[in-house]
Amino acid sequence: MFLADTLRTRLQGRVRRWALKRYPRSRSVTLTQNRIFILPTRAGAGFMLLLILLLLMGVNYENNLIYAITFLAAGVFLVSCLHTYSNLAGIRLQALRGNNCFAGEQAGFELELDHQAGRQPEQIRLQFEQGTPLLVDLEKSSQRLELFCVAPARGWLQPGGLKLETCFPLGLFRAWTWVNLELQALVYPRPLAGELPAPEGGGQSGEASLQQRDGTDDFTGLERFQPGMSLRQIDWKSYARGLGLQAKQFGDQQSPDIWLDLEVCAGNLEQRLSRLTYWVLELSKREQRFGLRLGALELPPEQGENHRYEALKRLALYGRGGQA
Amino acid sequence: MNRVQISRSAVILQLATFIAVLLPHLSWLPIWIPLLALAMVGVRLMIHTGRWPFPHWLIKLVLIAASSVGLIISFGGNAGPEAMVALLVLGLALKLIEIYHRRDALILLFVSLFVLATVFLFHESVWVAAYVLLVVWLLLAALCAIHQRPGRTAWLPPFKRAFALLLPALPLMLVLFLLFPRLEPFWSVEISSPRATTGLSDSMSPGDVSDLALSDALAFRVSFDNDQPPVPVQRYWRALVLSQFDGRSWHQASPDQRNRLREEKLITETEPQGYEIVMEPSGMPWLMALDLPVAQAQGQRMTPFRTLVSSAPLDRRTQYRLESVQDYQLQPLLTQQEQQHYLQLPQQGNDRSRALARQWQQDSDGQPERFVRQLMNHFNREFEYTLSPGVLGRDGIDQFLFQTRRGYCEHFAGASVFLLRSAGIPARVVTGYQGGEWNPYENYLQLRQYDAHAWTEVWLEGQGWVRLDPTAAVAPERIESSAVQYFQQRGDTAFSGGRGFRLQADWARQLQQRYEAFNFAWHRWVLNYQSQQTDLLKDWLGGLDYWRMILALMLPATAVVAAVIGWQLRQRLKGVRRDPFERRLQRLQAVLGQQFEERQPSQSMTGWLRALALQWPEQRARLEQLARLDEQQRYARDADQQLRRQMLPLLDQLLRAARERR
Repeated sequence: MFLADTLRTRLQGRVRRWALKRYPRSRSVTLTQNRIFILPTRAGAGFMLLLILLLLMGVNYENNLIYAITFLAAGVFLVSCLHTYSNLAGIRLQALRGNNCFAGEQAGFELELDHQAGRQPEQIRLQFEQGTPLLVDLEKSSQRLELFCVAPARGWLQPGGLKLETCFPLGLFRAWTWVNLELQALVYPRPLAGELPAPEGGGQSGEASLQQRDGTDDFTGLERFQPGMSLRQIDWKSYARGLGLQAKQFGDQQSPDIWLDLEVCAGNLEQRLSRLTYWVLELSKREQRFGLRLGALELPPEQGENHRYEALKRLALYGRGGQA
Repeated sequence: MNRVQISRSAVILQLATFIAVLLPHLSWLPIWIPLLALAMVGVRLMIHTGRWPFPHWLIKLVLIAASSVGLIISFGGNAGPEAMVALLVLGLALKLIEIYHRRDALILLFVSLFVLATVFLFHESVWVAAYVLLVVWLLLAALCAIHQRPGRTAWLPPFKRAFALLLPALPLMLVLFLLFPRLEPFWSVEISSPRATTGLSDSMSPGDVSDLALSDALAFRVSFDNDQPPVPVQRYWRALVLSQFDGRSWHQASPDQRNRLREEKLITETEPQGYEIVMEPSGMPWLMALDLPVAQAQGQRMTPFRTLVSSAPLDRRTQYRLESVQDYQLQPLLTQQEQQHYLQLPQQGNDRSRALARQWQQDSDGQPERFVRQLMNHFNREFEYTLSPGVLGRDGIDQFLFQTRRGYCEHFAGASVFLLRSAGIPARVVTGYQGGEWNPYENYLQLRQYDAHAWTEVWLEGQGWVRLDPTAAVAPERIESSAVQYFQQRGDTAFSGGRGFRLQADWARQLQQRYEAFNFAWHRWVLNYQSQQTDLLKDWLGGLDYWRMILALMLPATAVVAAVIGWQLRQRLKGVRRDPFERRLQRLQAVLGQQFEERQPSQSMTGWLRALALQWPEQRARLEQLARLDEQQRYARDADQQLRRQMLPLLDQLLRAARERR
């Protein structure tokens, strides 16, 4: 058994390399017989042993009915090979998108699987090389699903080969294939709590100054509430008066912008990036305007979802070559 | 992957499979094993419904120890197939209470399949085979069920899937069954113990054969090479020659005496006829042969007086081929020693019979032929052929010849040989079967125990051993038809009483014959296929080379694979064709792709439609509507079908517009 397992592992490794090299990365892949491999599982090996025992019994007792049931079982064995194969064949995979995440988390990749009508592939196991496996039954003609993969470091994460395998329906054979989908997810640095890197200009720094700044914001007036505004801005009093949802506007534009600067942080590069990431998140949550300075790269002070994304993206890709 | 928990319905299917596998073994298993097995099923059900926890390992240990002790008590040191199967059944029963993971279930099902196959060591009928086929289906369904999602509990899908697996496997099985060479056993195994059987014994005393006449159990079946059975009066099936009389019973010659006899010389006068006999298990070594066999078959021995003996008692149904001749001369010359052997009589007893023989000898001037005629006439005039001849005491032959004058074939045969020997004419008793019922559906002759018969052979100068059947003189109809018909016509109560209900109507008889024909075919073509295989394959393939065999194996296997793939392709095409929406969408893609731009694989349907809307302003409104609906449809959860229905007319209109544009 040990030898068989070693052989199997080596064979699977070889198949993986071959399949991934032979077929280029693509957005969508249809599984055909060219790329599906099939071998008996351990249970399949057990079944073959059972067939041999049955045949021995048939021969030794010269019993034709035992021969018959042996041959029937052998027939089922072969037919189940075809079933297992066709459980995988004909499935079309389409890469949808990768969901961004922070380093150390699991990056989600969304796929769409569809298959020809008239069949219902069951118990398909999908797994990226470094990812968590997912078992699915494709009951509908097309199905979206999200696969997760460990994101160890910041930058673009390409999940590598995706392995699809199935042992359905009898578990005697395993059919598997490797596909290389054009998917990537942006991995931001892992947020690391710490002191606020000194803001531009004045001697104010750290938490205390922030608190103060919040308190000195001038109320400038009311504006119609738009989706996307913070709930904290809602003027509940006017809502109670029946004026609809109004958002309070503060004159914080006038307050000095905060600059997050890589140079100001302590620690090695990754730690500094992590700290900056933390503050990008924190300031976005507080709806503060901030700018980002990563060496020569400068992101002017701004506020909002897009700005947050831009800042995180710069942090993720800093020093990772011209992929930004 | 084998540590996966299995679904609840899969557990129930496992239990059902186990019970189904156990059922045919109930006939012979010691009663405590099925009881224990049922208890285990009950325990598993209690666990299943959550009332009991999985048992502690100590309980399991106690169970294992107890059943080992039970096995030793029930089977002792006898390690036959029974002990093996009982062990496996017990193992399965104990495994039941711990099925939880897929791995446990796999072991249970694999061993169940093996135990299911062992059913055929004990039962071989068509019905059991059909039952086993159904159980295989159930077993496959259980195997499918353990590999489906644990949350699935529907009953039908595993059965459907198992059916789809089983159906294409059947032709494969047939091909393998026909072509796979039947090997000699690798080591000798103990066949299950013989059942109590009825049949001829190696001695004959008054009442022995008539006992057999009360049984309608099957004795043997014969099929002839030219499908033509001999005429009824020629259907004498020879089993034993009895030459030693002790005053009451007739016995075979002892081994010593047999060694002193020469093998009797056979001069054939016609072409031999080939036939095949299928004998039911008798527990005795002697074999039937049509009077008179030319040579023995493999594994058989020919005695000096041309009867056949098997090397081992017949514990199972046995099939063999023979050739026989009907016109022959057997042993035209007898040595002094042989003459004496066939004239042996006890010193005393049956004095009146001896006196009668002496008187007839004088009447016939010492001519054996005249003596024989006298004997037959005597029987014909004053004797009655019956199954209830009454009890005979000392000097049975005297009693029979002068007082009761009623007898069955063994009385007539015994008395004839006694009289002939008393008159110095060498004679002997032959036992076997006579007659047989022809089954026109499968073309074979069927002999039952009530066809058992005893007759005599008398040695005449210049002619050798001649068959002489005194029963034919008393009751010629018995020889021409059969014992059943003879006694039924005469309303013999002893006969109909012993046999219970018997089908009388014509249609019922036909039905029975058809059923028996079917059973015979089953035996010949399935249970005993090895004896047909060589001829059959030669016939079909025109020879038996390796390449012919391989070709014959490959062709159907390829055909089956092609059929399965073809069927799946068809399903796939049908799936596409069936859905009018998908069909139209594809056509639209093809038509518009030709006229404007192809849809790129990376492009969504919606995106592509929007891009087209810019290039084809006349249909812009429709294209955009379609794009919107398509988008909705793709992200909708349930309104799928309704949206599609809205899209259908749009698709049609666009297709028409595209065609007009061309």
